[in-house]
Amino acid sequence: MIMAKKQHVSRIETQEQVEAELKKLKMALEEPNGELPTTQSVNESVESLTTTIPKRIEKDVAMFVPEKKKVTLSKDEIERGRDARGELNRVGTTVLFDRDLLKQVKIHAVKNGVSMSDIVNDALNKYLTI
Amino acid sequence: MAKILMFGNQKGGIGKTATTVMTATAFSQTPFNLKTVVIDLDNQKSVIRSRKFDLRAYDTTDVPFEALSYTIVELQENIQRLDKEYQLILIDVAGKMDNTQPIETQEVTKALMYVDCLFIPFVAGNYNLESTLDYFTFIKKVQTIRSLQQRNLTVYGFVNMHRARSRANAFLSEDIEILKQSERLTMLDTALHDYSIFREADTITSLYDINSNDTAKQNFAQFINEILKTIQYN
Repeated sequence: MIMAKKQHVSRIETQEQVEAELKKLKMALEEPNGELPTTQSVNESVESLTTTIPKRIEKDVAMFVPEKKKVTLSKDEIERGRDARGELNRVGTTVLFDRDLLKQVKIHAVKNGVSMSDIVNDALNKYLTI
Repeated sequence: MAKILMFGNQKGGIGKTATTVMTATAFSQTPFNLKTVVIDLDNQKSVIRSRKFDLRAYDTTDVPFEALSYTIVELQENIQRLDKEYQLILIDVAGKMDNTQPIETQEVTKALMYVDCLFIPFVAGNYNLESTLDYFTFIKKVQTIRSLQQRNLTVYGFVNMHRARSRANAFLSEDIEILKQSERLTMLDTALHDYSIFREADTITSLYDINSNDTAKQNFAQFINEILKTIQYN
């Protein structure tokens, strides 16, 4: 979790409060804070990192396939055509995704570390083929 | 032992270097007087160039904090010494990451392995939740590695260049609420507003004045006071 310690910050308003907090910080700076990692361990750690976002899974998408009236298609911009294999495609479609639904997708994506745009795209594709 | 801070994320133009410099000028002078160094890892060397300009403009050699231009290799060679020598180390990284390279291969990643507190600026209109999620996923992995070490990495967000009547703020606020609710990010209470004195800040003059009647300086004093409280617990 990208959580910092809970702060319970009470706002510092006066010079006296600043001095008290500064005194605490200076005391903390005097105390051992643990050794920094060595160059070798840093380089090894960095090599082990990858940043690939987990592939969306079917259930992520299934949760957010919009109900009727949750999506608005801007018909003026829909251009239907067929690709080289003769399959129907859509070009330049403007889609308005329901804002509350989008918010739910965002929360899900943030909590689960999955791609928000992948969920929206796949959920819309499912909606359009229903 | 020093506290090692970084203002950073994957976006450019969100005031990372300016906030780094303002924080260094504040903490290195009255009333804090912390022995401070800024390590400029950015190829553009913005901090170093500003410092050279300010030395000429003020016609002085007396500086509140040291500014060092390092490569990541030089940082690695010197970080143990700097940790003993200084009380506050601020690392300034490239304004924008190289999109052609995976984040794990970039120098900023190595720099993050030494940082105690990472502060992520959010700027309305220059922000995208999707790319922020990519960055969080990466930071989470860095934190996992750091949790096995003696010094951990803690992460805070804050709103930078805030404009009270901007429409873009509404979208940013909604996304920040989501990030907070999902317990993935602790936000600082203080947002730094888009005041001109912040854009024009130099490497010599501290903007910190807790007794000032100036609205911008009051805003900055609140920000620095919150940073002061925050870093002592990490």
